[in-house]
Order: sequence, then structure tokens, then C-alpha cells
Amino acid sequence: MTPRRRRAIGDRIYRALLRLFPAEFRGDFGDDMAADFRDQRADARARGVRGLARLWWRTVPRLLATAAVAWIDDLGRDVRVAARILARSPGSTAAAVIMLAVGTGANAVVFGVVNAVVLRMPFADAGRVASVLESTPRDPRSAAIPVGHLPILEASPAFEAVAAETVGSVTWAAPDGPARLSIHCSTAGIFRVLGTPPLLGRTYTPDEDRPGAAPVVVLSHRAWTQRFHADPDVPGRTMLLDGVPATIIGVMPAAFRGATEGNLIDGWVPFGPALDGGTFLGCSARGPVVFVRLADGVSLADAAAQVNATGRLAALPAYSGETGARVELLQLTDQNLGDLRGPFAALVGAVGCLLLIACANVASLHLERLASRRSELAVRVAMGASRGRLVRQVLAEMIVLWGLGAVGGILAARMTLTALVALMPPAMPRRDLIALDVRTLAVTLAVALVAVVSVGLLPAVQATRPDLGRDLKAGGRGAVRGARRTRPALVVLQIAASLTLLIGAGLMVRTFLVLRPSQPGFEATGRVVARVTLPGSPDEAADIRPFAAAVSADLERLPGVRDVAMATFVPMTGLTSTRDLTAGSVTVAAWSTAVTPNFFDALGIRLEAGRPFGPGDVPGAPAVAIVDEEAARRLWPDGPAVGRIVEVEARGGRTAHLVVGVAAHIRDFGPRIRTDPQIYIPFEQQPSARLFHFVVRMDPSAPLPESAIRTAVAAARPGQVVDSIDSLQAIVDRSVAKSRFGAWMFGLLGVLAVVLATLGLAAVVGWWVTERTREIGVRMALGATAGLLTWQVLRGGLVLAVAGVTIGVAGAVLGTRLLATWLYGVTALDAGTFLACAGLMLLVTAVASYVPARRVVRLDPIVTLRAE
Amino acid sequence: MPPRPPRDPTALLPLTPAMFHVLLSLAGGDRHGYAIIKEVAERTGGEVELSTGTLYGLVKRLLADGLIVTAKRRPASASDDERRHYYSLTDFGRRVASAEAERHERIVQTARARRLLRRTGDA
Repeated sequence: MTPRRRRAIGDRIYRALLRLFPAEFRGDFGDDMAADFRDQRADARARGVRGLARLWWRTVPRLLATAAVAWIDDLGRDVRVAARILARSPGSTAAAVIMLAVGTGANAVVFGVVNAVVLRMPFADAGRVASVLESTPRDPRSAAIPVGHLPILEASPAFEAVAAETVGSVTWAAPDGPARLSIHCSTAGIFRVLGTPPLLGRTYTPDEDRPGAAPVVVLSHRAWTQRFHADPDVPGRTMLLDGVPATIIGVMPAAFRGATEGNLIDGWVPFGPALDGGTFLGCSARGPVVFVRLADGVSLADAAAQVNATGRLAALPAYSGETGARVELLQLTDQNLGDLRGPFAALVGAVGCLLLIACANVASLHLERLASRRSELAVRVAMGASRGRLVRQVLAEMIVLWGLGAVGGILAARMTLTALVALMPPAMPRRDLIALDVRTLAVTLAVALVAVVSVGLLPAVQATRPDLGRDLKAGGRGAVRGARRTRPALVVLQIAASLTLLIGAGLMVRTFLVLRPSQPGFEATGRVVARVTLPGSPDEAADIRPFAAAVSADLERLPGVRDVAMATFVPMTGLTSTRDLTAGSVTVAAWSTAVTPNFFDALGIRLEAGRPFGPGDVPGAPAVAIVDEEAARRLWPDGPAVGRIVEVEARGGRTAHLVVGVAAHIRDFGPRIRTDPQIYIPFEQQPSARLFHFVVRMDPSAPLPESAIRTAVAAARPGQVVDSIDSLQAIVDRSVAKSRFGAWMFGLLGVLAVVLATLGLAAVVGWWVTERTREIGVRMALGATAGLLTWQVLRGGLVLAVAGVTIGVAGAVLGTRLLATWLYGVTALDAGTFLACAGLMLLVTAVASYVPARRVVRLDPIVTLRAE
Repeated sequence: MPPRPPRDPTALLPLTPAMFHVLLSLAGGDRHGYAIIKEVAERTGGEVELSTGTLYGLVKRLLADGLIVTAKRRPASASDDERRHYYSLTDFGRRVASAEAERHERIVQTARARRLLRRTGDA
């Protein structure tokens, strides 16, 4: 290579590096820099190859650093200029900032929720953690697995770890009085299956998970902070659980809630001691749920196929008692988040729509603002400003708006997030971890920036393509070129996006109205429900009547108490017992509860036929039952139910009950409405329940007698605690928390979207009127009536609305299916909701166009003709 | 449009060493970029070696702050590339450089008083 050629290559490399600088910098200094570097190279060459290498080595990094600084300087200058320009029109700047704040704030809130609830992976390598389901012909997809199946699952090479778990509750003799704790009884494998190390101390070993081992307990973060004030020295201390001293050996981290991701777990105790058929710390070995961690590289389907292929499980009786069970594996995060993902994706889509609508409004406002600066832009082009430079300047204005909007939005999000979390269903996983953390803020800011800049490019590109001659002559009036097409297009987009959102909101609100138990079949106001669990196994028979009678008698003496009833299960608590009812050849599964005679009165449940339970319905007397209308209709479709015999599934067989009454059907649902038949059995004739509820009917004005109930229970049985005390109304409200949350969220977003889109439409129609003032004046002078002109303007708005509504309906058809898991009593494509929302949107847009259109009527032809 | 230079030269102090060297170099006469780089290297015995990137980053700042300007006339002795820009110190730039030099002088005096410098005339 000749020296000359080498020099040319060096020049070219240096010139290429200079391209990293902003064009302006390059224009100002590029030639000098290249010339200087050529001289430097000539000098360095005198010192040989090493001298040359040293020069390059020193030059390149500094060049890169200077380029970065030059860019930052440039941007800073653009932003300062942009801020000055924006400050010149405070009204439209404030409007743009508020709209962006609404869009950004809504995004921050929803990302915060989605990040905590859906995206945060609760387990290490969560894709490999699954729960085991067994299917038999009579009992498909049962999560309850007989204990005898565990060794077979543990022996399978498809699994790295296997764990069985059941829920229990124990009474802890705490220093400040007994307390009820929710615990999980889990085999030692659970910590390997879930793969989460403890925050403090350790988890238990297989040796501690055997009958006879010294009892140990691992605390949840919640229990550690709430009950032990986050004392780091807790490991090693002893808790007296149901009278058994158990050593605290560890504390789990805050985000760990166990396999089922419950919010209220207090701790984990070994399940092993209960597995041989006994009970241990409130846990019995009947049908635990089983979780597995798949071996590396094994898929869910492969693992299930491997287990089924051995045929060993099929040979054993399944939970239903049948043989031939087949295993199915369900990824645990899918199971825990199953019905949340779709609606949450819809929520993300909804806030995305809202941000888009806000950005479209901002872009539209910006086009209007740029229209008044057309001559300024034209002058700058005439003076030699490059188009890229002007685009950058306009974009800098958008970035300043973005910054201000983001600050406002994040402040708004901070203020609303707490209220929103309070609205969320209590069972929503990790709802207490919802916060505007760094990840949420980063995503929110990035999404908003991308949205603002991409929408901002539109006015930037259009405004900087000025028609020099025309713009300089026009003296800055009239629209930015292309805005006549762009702004209507933006409005169509906005109407479409807000209608899609509105339809989603409509479906959620309708679901809420269906689920909201306006007529649940019982009276909720003034009723207080207290749940009590007596220690011991649910399988162990025990007569609880003396205890129940003593508590009832105490409670009845309280001021304000009208009546005290008892029931094993109360509607809408989420706790149910389902039993098969058989009459002749018909068998139905029914919600069942054992109640005292005054239960129907205390809850205001109507008896449609027959009699309530009476003092004669005691053990020894004929077994009786009251069924609801639904059971009566299904079991005896052809005649009255009273006087018939129904066989009720009982432990180990069936017992025959004489139907003495038919009650009105009451609504019971936790996550879903149950339309199951219902059956009531006298409490006296089935008094061995361990878990039951006192239903206290109060004077409407009387306060919740919480401490009085606790005192009465403790007096009747020393050391006994009350699990929970709630007004029945609160229980009913909680049962619809999910749909109420959905209705609020989508409703709020829908309303915001419609407001923003309407403002956008009104602005565009108003701008038309202003643009055509002269034309309108001419036509008025020529005799066009005000009515005709108003209609023409109005028609312009409606054409946009119809286009937007058409696209919006199409969007909703595609989008609402995400909500399907949360909808109830209404389908995702409900025609009524679609029509009503589309109609509402058209009406709103008609009004939004009419207001500016009316200005036409008021125009004075003389004035309008002078308008230009 | 460069911002109006601030009246008070001390408002820009302290200067970065590289910036001060560029001003010192121009205090000796108008120069183009490479001449500045060479003069600084020679004067400091190779201790301060400005790269082209660093230099023009500084030049841009100094121009914007009104400490230097692009010289309208090339020195008569200029025999190189016609397109090269020469830079000269403004009055304000000279005052800033003086103020910086005085600042250094005060530091040196203090150092001397504390017997950190053995001989006079070292600075």
C-alpha cells in the first residue's frame, strides 16, 4: 500500500467517525478537525508506527466522548428553545400536559398492578413448577390427590421434587392472647418445588417432616412483620400451636406466598406427621394438593405421559374412590393467574388506548399551534435551517410536553394507586406489593416517550414541509399543510379507541350489575357473621351443642341483638360443602348447610312451602331437611317436594331425610354465581361440625359487637378464638370484589377516553368552522340558511364519528374476548352493550360537533367576509 | 445565536485545565486548531496533549461563551489550507484568562507561604 493510499484510508476513517457528531457541529468544525488530524498524523508518522498507533488510540475515545457531549448540548438547547415556545401559549400547553398526564398516570397505575400481580415470578424457574390433577370418569380434574399416590409421583424421574400440601388453621397461644393462624401443612419438598430460599433461618428438612419429629414452623413474611414486629432474632423461638410447642426455624421473603399465592398465610408446618392418617397442627391427610418441579428439560405433557405410562397410579383408588386415574399437570402460575391474565392484558390495552387518544389530542393541538408558526418555520427554512433541524425542534417541544405530562401523571398515579388497591379483590395475588417501583416507572416513561414522539413526528414532519411561497405570503395564517387530512384521521382513531374501551367498560359494568346481589334471596343489612373453628380433626365426631348454646345465650343478652342463629355454612363466604342429593333415579350436587331453626328468620330467607325446622327436629327424631326451589324443581319436577324423601350423601354413605319445607333459592358465590340446588339440615341432627358460623341479627343502628362476640366465645370455651367477624354486607361486597374492580377500572378508563376523544372532536370541528369562516360568510351572503350551514358542519363531525364507531366496534370484537374470564351473565360480544355504547358514542360526538357548529349561526356575514 | 457574555469574568471560573491552556495559547496570537494543539504540547513538554475531539468540543464552548471568536483575517504568515479557521481571544476571553491566572497565582502564593515550593520563580 502506498503512503498516499494509507493517508486516504486514514482520512476516510476519521471522516466516518465525524459522522457521529450532530450535523451542525460537523458543519462548523468537521473540515478543521479532519485537516488538524491529517497534520497530527503527519507528525506522528515521524515517530514510526508506534507513534501513529498511539495517536489513533488517544483520538478515537475522545472523539466519541466529544460527540456524545455535542449531542447532549444540542438536545439541551432544543429543549430550552422548546420550553420558551411552549410558554408562549400557556393554554394549549396546559391542555396538552393535562391530557398526557391522564394518559401517563393511567399507564403507571396499570403497569404497577400488572408488574406486581402478573409479571413478578413468584417461584424460581416458574415454568417448571406445576400442580397435579387426577381425572377419573366421575371426578374429572380433581386437585385432591390421595396420600397413597405420593410415593409413586416421588419415584418418577420426570420430577425433580414433589410436595403435598393442605391448608389448616391453628390457635397460637400468643403472649397478648390467643390468635388464629392460617397455615399450610406442606411436605419438606415444597421449598424445593417452589425454589425460594428463606429470608431468615432455614426451611425444614425431610427428617423434620416425619411423625415424631420435633415440631417446627416457618413463618411467612406477613406473620413475621405483623405478629413479631420483624424481629430478626425470631428463629429459635417457640410458638405454642394448638398446645404443641413448635420451634420457629425460618422466615420466608415478602414476595413468597406459598404455592397457592394466598395473601393471608401465616406459616408452613411439616405435613409428614399427619400423612399416616392422623392430624397434626390442624391439618388432616385427606386429599392434599400436590405440586411438582419438573426435571430439567422435561415438558408438562411428557412428565404426565411418563407417570401415566407406568400404570401404577391407575391401579390405586383415586380421591373419588374409582380406579383408572390419569394424571395431568398444570403450570402453577397459569393456575394461580388463570383468570387474571386476559383481563389484565385488556387493561394494558385499555390504558394503551387512553394514552393513544391523549397523544392524538396533543398532536392535533400541536398541528394547530404550528399553523400559527408557519411563517416563522418558512423563514427559518429560507435562512437555511435544515428540515431535520426543524423536525428536531418540533420533537423537542413534544419531549418537553412528555416530561411535564409524565411528572403530572406519576404524581396522579401515586395519589390514586392506594385507592385502587383498596378496590381490588382481597384474594388478588401480591396486591400488597403493588407500587410504583423503578421498573414500573421506567416502562411507563418509555412507553409514554415512544407514544409522544411517534405521534409528534406527524406534526413535525408536516409542519416542516412548508410551501415557502404560500406560507411567507399568508403571514402565518391557515392550516399546516396536510393537517386537513391528518386531524380528522386522528379524530377517527380516537373515537375508535374510546369506543373499544367503552364497550369493554360496558361489559364489565353489566357483569357487575348481574353479580351485584341486589336480590340475593336473603337480608344482609344488620347481620353479623362470626366464624369459629374448634380444634381437632374435621373427621373426629364431637358434640358442639353445649358450646354453641352457651355462646348463643350470651350473645342474645347483648344490647341491640335481636336473634342469634347458627349454620355450618353461610352464603357468599366462599366456604361451601357440596353433597349429592338423590331422589329416585335423579342425583344432583347441592350446596348444603346445617342450620338452627331460627336461621331462616335471622337471614330473612322466605319459605315457599312447608314449615321451618322446629324444636322437635332433634337427634332420634326422624331426619328432616328443607330444600330450595331449585332442588325441588330438579328432584321432583312433577309435584310438590314437601313430604318426599331425599337421600343425602353423608360420610361413608347416604341418609334419608324427610323434606319438610321448600325455601327460596339464595345466591351464593365466591368467584362465580352458584346456581346449585341447596339443602338445609337441622343443626341439632348434625352437630359434629368443627367449623361453623354464628349469625347475629342486630338492630340496624347497633355497632358491630366484635369484642362482645370474642368474649362470649372465650367464656364458653377458654382459649377458643373467633376466626373472623364481619358484617354480612361486607362479605357480600367482597364476593363481588373482582367484578366491581373490573367495572371501576374499565368504567373509569372508558369515561376518560370518551371525554378526551370528545374534546378532540370538538376541537377539530371548531377548527373547521374557523378555517371556513370566509367560505361560510360568502354562502350566508348568498342566502344559505343558518340551519343548513349548521347541519353541514354537524354532518362533517358525524361522518368522522361513524367511521370511528365502525373501526371501534371492530376493535372491540377483537379485544373483548380477553375479558371473557371475568364476564358473567353477558357474553364478550353482547349485542346490547355494543349497540348501546356505539349509540352513546354517536350521541356524544353529535353534541361535540353541534357546539362549535352553532357558532356558524352567530356569524355576521360582514365580519366573516373580512376574516381574511 | 451565542448567549451574551456574562460581564463578570470570574463567573466562569475555575476553567478546566484544557480550556485554560487553549486560552493561554490564543493569548500568544491567533491560531488554528492544530497550531493550538502543537503549541500546548510544546509549552507543557508533552504533558498536555489535546486530541482534535477534545479541542473542538472546547472551541465550541469558548465560542458560545464569547471567550474566543473566529478570526476575520488570516495571519499574513499563514501558509496552509485556505479553509482552515483561525481563532482569536476576545477582550472578555482575555479577562477570563487573566482572572484564571490570578486564581492560580493566589494558589501558588499560598503554597509558597506553606513552604510547599522551595524556590521562587517555579510557577
